[in-house]
Amino acid sequence: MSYAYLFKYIIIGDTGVGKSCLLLQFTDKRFQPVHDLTIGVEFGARMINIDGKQIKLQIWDTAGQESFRSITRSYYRGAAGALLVYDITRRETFNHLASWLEDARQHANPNMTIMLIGNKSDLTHRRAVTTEEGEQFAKEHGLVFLETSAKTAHNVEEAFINTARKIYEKIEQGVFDVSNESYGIKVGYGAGGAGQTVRPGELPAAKSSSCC
Amino acid sequence: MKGAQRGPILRTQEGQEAACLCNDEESCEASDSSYSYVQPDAAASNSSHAAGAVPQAQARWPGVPPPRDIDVTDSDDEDGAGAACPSDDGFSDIGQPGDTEVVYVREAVAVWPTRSERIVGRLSLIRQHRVLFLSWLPYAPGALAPDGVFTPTPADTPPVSPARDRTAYAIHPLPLSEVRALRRHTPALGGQHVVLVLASGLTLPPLTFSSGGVKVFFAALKQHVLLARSAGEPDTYLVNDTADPLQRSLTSLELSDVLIGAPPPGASATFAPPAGLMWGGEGEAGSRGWQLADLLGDSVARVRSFARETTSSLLAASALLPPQETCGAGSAALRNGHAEAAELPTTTAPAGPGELGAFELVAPAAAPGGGDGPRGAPPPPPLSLEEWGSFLTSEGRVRGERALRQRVHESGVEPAARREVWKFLLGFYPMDSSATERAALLASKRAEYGRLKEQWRSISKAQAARFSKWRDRRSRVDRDVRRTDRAQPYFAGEGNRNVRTLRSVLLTYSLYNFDLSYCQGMSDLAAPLLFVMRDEAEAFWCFAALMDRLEANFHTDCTGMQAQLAGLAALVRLLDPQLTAFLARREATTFYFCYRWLLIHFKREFAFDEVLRLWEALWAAALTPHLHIYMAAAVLVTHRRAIMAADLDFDGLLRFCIERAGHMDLAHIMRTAAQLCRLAGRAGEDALAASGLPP
Repeated sequence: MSYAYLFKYIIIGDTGVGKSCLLLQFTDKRFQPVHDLTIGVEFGARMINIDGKQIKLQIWDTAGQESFRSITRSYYRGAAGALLVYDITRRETFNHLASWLEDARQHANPNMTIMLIGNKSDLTHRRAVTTEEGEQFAKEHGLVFLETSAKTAHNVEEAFINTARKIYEKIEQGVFDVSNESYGIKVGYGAGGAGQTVRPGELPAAKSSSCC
Repeated sequence: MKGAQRGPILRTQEGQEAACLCNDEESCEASDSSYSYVQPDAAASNSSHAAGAVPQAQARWPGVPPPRDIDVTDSDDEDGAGAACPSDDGFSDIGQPGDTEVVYVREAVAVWPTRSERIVGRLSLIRQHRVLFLSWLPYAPGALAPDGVFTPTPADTPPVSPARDRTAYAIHPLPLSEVRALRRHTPALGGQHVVLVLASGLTLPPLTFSSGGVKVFFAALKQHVLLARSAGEPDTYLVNDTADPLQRSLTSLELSDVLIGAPPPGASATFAPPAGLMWGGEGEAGSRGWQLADLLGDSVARVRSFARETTSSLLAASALLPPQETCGAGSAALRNGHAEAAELPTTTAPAGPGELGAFELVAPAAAPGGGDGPRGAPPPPPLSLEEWGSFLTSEGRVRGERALRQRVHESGVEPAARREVWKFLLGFYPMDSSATERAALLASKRAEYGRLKEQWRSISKAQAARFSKWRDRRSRVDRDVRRTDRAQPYFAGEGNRNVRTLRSVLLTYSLYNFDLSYCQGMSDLAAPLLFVMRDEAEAFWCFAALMDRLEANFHTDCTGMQAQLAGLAALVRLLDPQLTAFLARREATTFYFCYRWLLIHFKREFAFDEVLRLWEALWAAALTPHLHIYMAAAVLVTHRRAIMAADLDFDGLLRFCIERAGHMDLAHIMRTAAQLCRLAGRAGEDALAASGLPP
């Protein structure tokens, strides 16, 4: 499949908030309530379209448990986008957001676009964190916010695609030097050529690429 | 066949799993009070409604799958997803009994260590995937129940000197291709006997047939192998295992193939690899292999094309190999004749095959689920309960620990024997313990487990409400047991009681080892133990024994994992400097991409039943206690060409490693790991020790 850009994403947040389910819902459009817990990191990819441009999302779904963090941090390297996920039915997962955010800011690229996700929005009867609290936290920390349900697929497309749109806007604004892969962005083949300099603000035309 | 083991059979009153499976945690106790002993005959006759009885209701032949309706514990589970099947070429995967058939059995064949001592046993011929194995196992001097209770056999067999190591005479399943000749003797007085002369020249002690039957034995042999009567000695028969000439030639070729690839077209019949290239002094076997292959005419062409189709990866000019070896005749031939076997024949490769290294480690294609390259005959069938008995002295102590470890490494353990053998491999049972000592140990450990478990079961709601650390711990375990091996029938379904038992094991461990607590990955390690033990307390102690080895993997400062990763880096540096240089250029020398492999010992990379097979080999530690690190190195080295050709960066490597899951040939990787271990030798172990790993 050809693409104009490839964006690297990471999904972070406490264990059991639904990171793997969000990824599976986005890449496979299905919900799998019973799956193995993530050890280390898992991988998923999907092509999306923004303004007529094919964009490939390469998504790293990390393990949530504290004990893996010093290793999983290495997976942050060069991510263009992050989904920071908490579980609206478990207050403590919301309370830990600040530490996750600090971790991400410290170990990932500072221009990384971060989307705050309150997952499990279908479980309204067990809600422990209000939508307003989520919005407030996002506002305070300059994040984009959405509540999602990996189970019903509510807002899942939006979560991933809105993040991509933000990144795309940043490219258009010239925030990134897209030839520098440490920003988590790769330019597709024929679209100026991978590794070739594309001047900030200049969008190469989408052409074919058979690269992953 | 029946009655060879006369001991008591352990069964639960319900005839169901022996594990503690109470749904209600408050009433759940790890008690053994529900066990009862029944006589074997009763067990056999009740078998139709006692399908859940603990295995070994009947004596079993090595490698023979148990009758479906008799002694399989949860036969459904054994057939779980991902069970390996024999591949099309007839080779069986390690650990899979596959199409195994006992083609001949003769009871009461004896070995006479001295004139006055006799060890009686059973002689059998077993055919597995077209390869014939011969086995003679002394009758177990008693019978062993799965929980370690050992009952000596009543003295209806002649007494054996206790000083005599019965097990020393056992012939563990031996491929007929390793037997050069059989000699038949008919003394004027006493029973006829047969002497086996091995290909190595070794002669085994005579097997005495007390009341005839040698003719029948030879007749059975003749149905499967070609016996040629020696012209000079009419009582000597030369064995030519004609069951599968191609396979036989592959067996002989394997080692040399692995090292230098297929013979170049037009190689002379006496082509021999340079001696320096051979591992473990197999040079003679290698050259004999070539000659044999040439004599086989048609099949050698198949061998060659087979070898060409296999993917090559390169074990580049290794630090262990003097430079002249890498440019010897064999490798020169390789460059000319074998270059087309490149794994990724791509123009974007950073270097041509010749530049990537002159020394090839030919590996089977990385094709998912088969398409295996040249490999030897399948290993002997897995260790059966019956054969396990032959490793025990009359007191039930393990004799020949090294041989046992080697045997487990090579062939694995039959599912029915795992419950017992694993306790030794893990160190829960000391190898030199007697059966009586083990029974006492188990009883006291059961009681201790009950007390440990009571510590958390007695935490009341009111106490828990004031104990957030405990609540956190419990909720993490709750969350994770629901996400562990649920695709396995044993753990599948809503409200599965085994999931509940797994939870209890992990919660109890988190109190037993309070400082370590519970960490993700532990449930992956504990689940197979519970599956095999079918008993909560036994699973717990096996898990505790396993964690004694792996605890450092779970330290939150990651020092244990860093040492493992550093060990892997050191090994790869030693074995493949070129790959190391590549990784350094890609800033990927942390080897974090192999993290999961090392943390939980490839649990996620292979099917559940393969993991059981792999782990018992790791615990057997026949070659090294760090076989898992050699395994990781083997995967990387096998794919080195693909990795370098695709110029993978860290993310690319990470993805590559993640995506190996479910697409690796366990037998091949284990073989390669063992070869790398032998190749690295002392230097490998030193490199691992220098990285902070225990020797």
